[in-house]
Amino acid sequence: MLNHTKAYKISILALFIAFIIIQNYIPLFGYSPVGPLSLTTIQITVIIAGIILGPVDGGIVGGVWGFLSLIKAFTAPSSPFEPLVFTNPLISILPRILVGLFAGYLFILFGHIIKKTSINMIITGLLGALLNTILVLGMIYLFYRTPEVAKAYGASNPAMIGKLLLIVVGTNGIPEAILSAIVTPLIADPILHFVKRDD
Amino acid sequence: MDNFIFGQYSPGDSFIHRLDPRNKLFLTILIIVASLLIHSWVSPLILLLVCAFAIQTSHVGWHFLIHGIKFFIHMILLTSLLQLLLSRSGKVYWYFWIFNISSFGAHIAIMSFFRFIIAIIISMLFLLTTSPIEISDTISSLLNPLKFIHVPVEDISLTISIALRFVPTMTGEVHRIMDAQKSRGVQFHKGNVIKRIKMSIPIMFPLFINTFKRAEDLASAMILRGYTGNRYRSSIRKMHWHINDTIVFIAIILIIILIFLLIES
Repeated sequence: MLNHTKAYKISILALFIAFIIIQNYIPLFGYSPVGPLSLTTIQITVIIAGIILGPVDGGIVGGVWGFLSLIKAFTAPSSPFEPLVFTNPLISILPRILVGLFAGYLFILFGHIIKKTSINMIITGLLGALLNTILVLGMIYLFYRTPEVAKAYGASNPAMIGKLLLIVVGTNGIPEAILSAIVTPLIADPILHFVKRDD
Repeated sequence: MDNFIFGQYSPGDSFIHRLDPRNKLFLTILIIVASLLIHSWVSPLILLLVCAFAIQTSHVGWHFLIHGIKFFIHMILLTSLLQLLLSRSGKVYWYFWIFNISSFGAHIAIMSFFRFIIAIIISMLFLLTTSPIEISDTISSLLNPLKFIHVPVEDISLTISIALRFVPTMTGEVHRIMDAQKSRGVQFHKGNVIKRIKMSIPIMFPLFINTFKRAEDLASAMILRGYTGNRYRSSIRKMHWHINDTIVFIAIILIIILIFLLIES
């Protein structure tokens, strides 16, 4: 009963937002360093929000993540690359909103086709993380390709950026997708049972 | 993390702390915008004087503030240095290979250095003297006009204030969970990719379950206290506009108008 009240919807959304804020600011928790790379686990939280709270709330939680990375790019950048790229809301906010939204809709859509929830979650986790990588890097590619912007960002040859971004897909995008494909069902499945235990 | 003070509230009861948060936010934004629009070398010095006066009256402490923004000062110095050495326009004083110092480059570098310094100091001061709760109250009072187009303003501000309220609580919980896992012998810095993926689960999972349990407790507490959605709620904290606010407001506006009338024109 409680899960269907407005009070519950507001509090769980607020706590998910708090969760995202913490993941952005506690080292080792939101970004786990593996060798020279830094894999983010934040998209997992957004995907889980999309699966359990629904597409709209997933989109809101994703939007908070995007907004925080926008602020972080301005105030406390962790790499010299960040202030150049993530200060553009089309790169930092829009893809993250879409990740939460799509994760919610994908889970509902695949729910009609695949009967086993955990397999559905593996696919949603994989596609959600891939969508984040593709959208963010795709947006960077779109904005960098024009010669003026490329020059302003200090890159002489726009053709090089395409190759560079493909390397990032290999080093960050694919491990992150595998990470969230493994972790999402392990966390979301028991929580879904926990949430629906009264129904 | 310890010497990183951005967004950290330092409680106090100084003149600046007692100003209306709406007033503080408006003046902060006004000073940042003004610092972006100035071109003369004298105006940033006047704005820096205003900042210095504000720091002195806020009782935050010079050492604390400077220690906290040291990282940003290094970053800003580096960007200014690059601008100084790489832009070539106007009279060139000195050059070597691709580097050169020109009159235009020097002007751009000094101006951008002052602009960023002013913006960092004043926004830092706002965050240091305004509690997260006050910030969320300010945001919701800014959203108030949106009520006319049926945006659920009360719900949004309630969500923001719950989220900000639980950040410290949940941060403590993350540290407790990590300590608990460490005491069981988990090593967070070792192992290959698979091991590290495995390690994130025993931290994430308890936190997620606790999040849902806490939301249930919170919801039942809200319902028992008679919460109904999107109605106007009276607040235990009221924002008051005192005579001091009017004085500070007029003073800052006058300073900025004078800068633009006398120095910039």
